[in-house]
Amino acid sequence: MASELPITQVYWKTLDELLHPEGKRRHELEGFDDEFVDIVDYIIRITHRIWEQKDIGLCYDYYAKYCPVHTLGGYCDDVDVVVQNTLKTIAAFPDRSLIGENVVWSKEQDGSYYSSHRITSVMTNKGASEFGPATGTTGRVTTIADCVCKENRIVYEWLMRDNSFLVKQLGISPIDAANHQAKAAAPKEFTSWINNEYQRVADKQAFADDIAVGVDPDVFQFMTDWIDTLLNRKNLNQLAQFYHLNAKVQWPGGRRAVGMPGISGIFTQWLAQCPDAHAVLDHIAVVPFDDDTIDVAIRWSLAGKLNPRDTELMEFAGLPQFILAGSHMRIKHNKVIQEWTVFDEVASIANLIRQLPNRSAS
Amino acid sequence: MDKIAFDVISGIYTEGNLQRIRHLLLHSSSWQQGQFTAYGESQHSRLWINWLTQCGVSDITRVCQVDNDLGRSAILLEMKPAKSSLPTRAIFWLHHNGEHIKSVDVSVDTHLLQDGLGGDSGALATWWPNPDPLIISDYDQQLHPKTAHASPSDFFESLPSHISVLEQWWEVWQTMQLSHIWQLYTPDSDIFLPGKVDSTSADGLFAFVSQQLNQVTRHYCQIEDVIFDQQADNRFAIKWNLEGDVRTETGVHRVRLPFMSLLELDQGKIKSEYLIFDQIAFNKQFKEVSLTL
Repeated sequence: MASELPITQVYWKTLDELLHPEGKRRHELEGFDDEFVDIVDYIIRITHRIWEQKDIGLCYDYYAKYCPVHTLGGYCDDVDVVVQNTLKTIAAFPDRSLIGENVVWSKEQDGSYYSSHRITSVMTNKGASEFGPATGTTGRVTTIADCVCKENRIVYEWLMRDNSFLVKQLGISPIDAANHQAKAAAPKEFTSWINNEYQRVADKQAFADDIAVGVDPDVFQFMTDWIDTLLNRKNLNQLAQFYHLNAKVQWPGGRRAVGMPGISGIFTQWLAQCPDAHAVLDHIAVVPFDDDTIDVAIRWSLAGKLNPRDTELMEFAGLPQFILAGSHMRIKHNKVIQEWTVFDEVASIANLIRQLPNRSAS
Repeated sequence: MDKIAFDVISGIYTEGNLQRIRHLLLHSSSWQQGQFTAYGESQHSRLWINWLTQCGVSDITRVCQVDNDLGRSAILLEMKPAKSSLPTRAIFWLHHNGEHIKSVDVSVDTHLLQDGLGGDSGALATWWPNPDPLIISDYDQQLHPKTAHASPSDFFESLPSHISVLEQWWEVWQTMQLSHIWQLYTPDSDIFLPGKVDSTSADGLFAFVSQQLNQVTRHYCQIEDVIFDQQADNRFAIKWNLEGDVRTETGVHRVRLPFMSLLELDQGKIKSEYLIFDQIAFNKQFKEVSLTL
């Protein structure tokens, strides 16, 4: 360890600087390859190699043989399936780029590293995908990939992708994409996971007991208050305690707002789709951005009963809905100046459709 | 960077110099034009080459630049493209660190550009970018006493000397305090409004503001960013949105009109103002709505 260089920060780095880091190791990184200087470097470079250089087989080197990967649309835990899924995605979107926007990390109690990687992808839909036949159009999507990394391998992953924003650009409605996705039966491991997760969150249980350990108590309190005050209690009059007056917020599907009234609108309209929902904070990581600004990554889950606002989803009213979400917040002087919240609305609708066999949203 | 940024940005349009801008952009830099956000060299180049193909190279006919020491710059270019009979105006809103540009948001007066390029009214729309998907989640737009709303003062740790002018300018839009117009502008002010080549007077601005605020209901104005040029001490750039409801045959639609404004002051009054709005981007984003600016 013993280097005075700061941990890699992506924001102002050129691609060349990211791919050729200088200096000595900055994190201990026990069991990691010598070439990596810190966990940010590890995540950025392995992502670039696998996705942009198309070295898909590197998944065998950088994923554990048994690695649970959770998304709202599926589950796998075998590195062979990780490789197959990566290949299928690249075949459907051959020019997919993965532009690292930020990596917010933490060192966990067991010595592993937790990385929350926010990615912007630009990709052209040239082959059949989970959303339907190829459209030939190009879209952009934000992904947050949360990975637990140990001894040079990813051993656990939660993947959140704003697929409703993507499919709209491809010319597919989110409901049509969900209908297509729901034609594939969910594996029983996935059904079991989502049912258990729904119950866990409905019972107000966080993913782990020790998520506050090692986190600045004030920041931890801020984020638990954000969940409880805004998502659970719906005290939207208190938004100004959390957001700057010109805070910019991006939520799935193209929900974008600047400032308090618009942000209030996002919370009001989205929460009204699941008004009895309860949310829990499942992980938090905090890193400095500059002298008076920090970056916070949270993973959170929400469970409740659907109250459709979209007429096409009326027949699914009252069905249990589970959301796996990630949020990145840039916080200055104790208030959010920019937020990116990501979850998969398409998969969420597909999961509703699967609960009513032989039905489709129309 | 301030001078370099101007040279590099103008170089795209005056001579098709794409190499220089590529060197200033990062792998993670974005370029937003027509409410479409482009990432990566391929998408950036597509925007530039499309412009150069459709418009040809341009002569720069007017420039105004606002820079602060926090890495924010706004560059107004009035350009006369070779293939256009009229000049058009654009503001480039930059976030940079002196070495690289992280983001560029461009607002082009596409009404003027379309008029200058001629052809049928939909010609420009066929090659102008498709805006990013947008959901405006509806909200209470009222200025209740206990609710929080941004005003220009909120953007400064130490207030600039002309902040009261800026506050009054904002009140014209946010609180519809139209009477401020008569105090804020000098009789010979140059006020450049969207779609108009020539400047107008305070009377023209009064008519424009009242028309805009009248054609949407439940309107709300939100400031996104303000740049104050400390060195020049008399220039502001403001990035802001007007949102409101528009009723059409298909129902009530909530719309967002993104504006960029650039103000130049002289002795406590506004000497010149440029208001830029991308009409084509709006038309493409809200296909069922027709607004006249």
